[in-house]
Amino acid sequence: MGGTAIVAFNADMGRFNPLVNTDQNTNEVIYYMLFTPLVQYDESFAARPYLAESWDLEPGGVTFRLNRDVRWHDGVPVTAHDVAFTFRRAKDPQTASVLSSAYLELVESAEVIDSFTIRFSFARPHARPLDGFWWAPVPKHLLEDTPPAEMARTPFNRQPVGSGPFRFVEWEAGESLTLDRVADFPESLGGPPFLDRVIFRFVGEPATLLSEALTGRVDVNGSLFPHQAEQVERTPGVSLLSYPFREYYYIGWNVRRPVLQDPRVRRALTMALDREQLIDVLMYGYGRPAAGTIAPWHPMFTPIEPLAFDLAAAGDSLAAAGWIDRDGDGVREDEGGTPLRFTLMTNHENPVRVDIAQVAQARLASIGVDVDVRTLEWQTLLARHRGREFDAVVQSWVLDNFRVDPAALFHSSQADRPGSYNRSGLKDPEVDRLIETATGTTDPEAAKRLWTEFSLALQQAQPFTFLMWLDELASVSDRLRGVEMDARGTLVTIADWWIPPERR
Amino acid sequence: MTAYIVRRLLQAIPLVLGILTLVFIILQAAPGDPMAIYMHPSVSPEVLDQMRENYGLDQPVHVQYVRWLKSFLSGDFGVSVTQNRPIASILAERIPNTLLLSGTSLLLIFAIGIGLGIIQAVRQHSGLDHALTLGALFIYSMPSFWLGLMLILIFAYKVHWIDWWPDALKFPPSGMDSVDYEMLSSWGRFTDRLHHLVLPSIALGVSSAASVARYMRSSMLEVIRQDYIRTARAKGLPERTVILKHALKNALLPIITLLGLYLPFLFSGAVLVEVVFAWPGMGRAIFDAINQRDYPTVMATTFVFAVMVVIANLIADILYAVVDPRIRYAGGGRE
Repeated sequence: MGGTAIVAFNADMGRFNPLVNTDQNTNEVIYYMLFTPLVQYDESFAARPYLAESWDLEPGGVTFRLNRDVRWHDGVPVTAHDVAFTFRRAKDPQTASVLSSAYLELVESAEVIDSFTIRFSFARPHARPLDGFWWAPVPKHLLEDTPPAEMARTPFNRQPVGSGPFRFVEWEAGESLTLDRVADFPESLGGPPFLDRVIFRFVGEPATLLSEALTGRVDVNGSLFPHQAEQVERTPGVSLLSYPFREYYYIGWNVRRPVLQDPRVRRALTMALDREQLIDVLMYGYGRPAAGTIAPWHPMFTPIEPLAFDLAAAGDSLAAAGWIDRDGDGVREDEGGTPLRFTLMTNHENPVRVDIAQVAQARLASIGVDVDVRTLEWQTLLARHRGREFDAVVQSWVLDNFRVDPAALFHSSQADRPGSYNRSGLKDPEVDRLIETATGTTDPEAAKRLWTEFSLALQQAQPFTFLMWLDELASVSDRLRGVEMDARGTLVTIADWWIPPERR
Repeated sequence: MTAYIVRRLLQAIPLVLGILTLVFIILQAAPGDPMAIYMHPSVSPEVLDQMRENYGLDQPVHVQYVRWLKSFLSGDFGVSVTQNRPIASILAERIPNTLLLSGTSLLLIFAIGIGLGIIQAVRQHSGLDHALTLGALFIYSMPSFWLGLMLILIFAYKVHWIDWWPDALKFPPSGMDSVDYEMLSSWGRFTDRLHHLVLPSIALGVSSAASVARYMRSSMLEVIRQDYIRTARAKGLPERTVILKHALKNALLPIITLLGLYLPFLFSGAVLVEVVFAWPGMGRAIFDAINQRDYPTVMATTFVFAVMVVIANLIADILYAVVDPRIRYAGGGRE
């Protein structure tokens, strides 16, 4: 009789299938409630045993021994055959599985040794090989008849049979999702959760959701915005949680554009922006300045000196690159008379991004850079950005796992591929070399040093102006205890949440 | 009459098909891609291309159109690209919710609008009339989503902290029912649902009610100046009977046509109100589908909206004939 907790988010869930889900909140439900990943992360972001109770790591591969007590919620045991089946489906291009590109690039093949032992071979060595195994198997006996191309649409994704501490009960699309505790969940994986039931509610309008949370009608508001934080702090019976998260804001520069091709120009643009002020004013202090793609809480992170806010130095750097106001109109020109002028795009649905663009416009005007701000509809912005039809863009990325692999964003091999993510078009041999050597280094300390060098090289190249790492915010009702959140997510400790008997 | 209705419905078929074709073309012309929401540095371009192929989105536009039209004409709405289930089941879930919300609003619009209109006409130029006119204009100028947010702020949030405020008037800010809905008695379910309906139906309907009141007032004023009303008064009938029995029926005539005008407006207003109140109806379905470029769902929801509008207009025309015996529709071989 542990009671019911109500958690609210601002959007509905995706697919409850680790192979084909791409939605962030759904991922948390998959990883921490419905399914059992091979490994789980601890507070210091090191892999710890979960479905795999132990492993032998060698340079060429890894052998996992699975926990024998874990069962699918229909009673069938979870075995190495399920893991191998999931791996093969993920590797099949027809499945279009996100696991293959997010985790399994380095993993070549899987071999079932016995029902509870499985060996994976690596394609090449890696500093943190276990990062490639933070994914959960799906039940082979329920999905083996689904053709790979149908995996994204199979009814299973809406009525999943999982293996985790909570079982699926009901999902009313756009409204609510109900999960119940699994009473016989093995002690070796943390045992059954305290709560009897967790109900997720989906409320799209932030102000409405805030009202629900402040009046105690939902226990956790997992989609809280910085401007709402103060109201949560002022309200009795509700408390505010804020913690460093995986999302960063950046301004992406298109280095193919003649005005932006010189790294000195891009560094000057960065130096002209006061990032501390952006965080204080626009994010109400809930964030920290960013200097690269590796998150400040990540084991591979080393702090580097950021390019400091310095308008005079920014102006000097532009002058050194040949951009001088030659005709006295307030805008710098190069020798040929081309003005230093470009368009900064963002989407109008996100007021913070629009504000960032306008602050940048004002700051850059003061050093003789003429910025035209254009706000577009979200999908239009995505299409323009993806098609490289932009000069500069205010955007953000959310890291979806704990691997460090900036190749997709900054390696020159991705600069000209249609649809790829090196949209800035950066081609920097030093950045390429450091990405290649760092991902292939098996000694963590050596890898960490290489990542520091990478961050410094990236800072010199400055394809992005890294603005800030956002803090994630949540409001939690006082009746709910044991709620802790960190960069692993909102739901990371949900199996340990509890409600005092008198408030159930 | 039957022949008229049948002819109108047949005429509606090319109209609806035309709307759908136009929407299809506009959607395809707009930048965007249903798979764009999956773009992420850890989702490789190959995986995205394969996703597009799995959904048939890599085909040329005309091929997609013909394929869509074929399945549509055979009664199959297809599968939602974002929700990954048959759109027919999404519609079956959502349509009743929207009808409940707009139906309640419609009742509210006409009950309040007609009532206020009559009072204003009877007490023309009184202080009450002026106050109501001012109030009506004030409310009429409010966008429904803003009004919705204000209602939530006051009647869900602010009153929550007032001890003496009755619980029955503390309204839930969102959703269609409470989380313990399944456990309630049938009376409990009814009141719970009603409680959730109050704020969204007011947000959706109140500005239309204000405009109905304006129409009703002027229509009533016109009628009570007529000779037959003077005759009724001269016969010594009580004022109440004169107004409610003799004047009301004729004054209602122009109001009935408003029904046809307001129904489509209710459905479009429902889009924003449903988003604000997290009401799981058609409006939210179309809003989400457009943002995510879920083409088949946009097509299906557009179809439902188009059909609702056609039917609403037809109902208005038929009602017009019912209340006004002078109006006869051609067809049926009576001329």
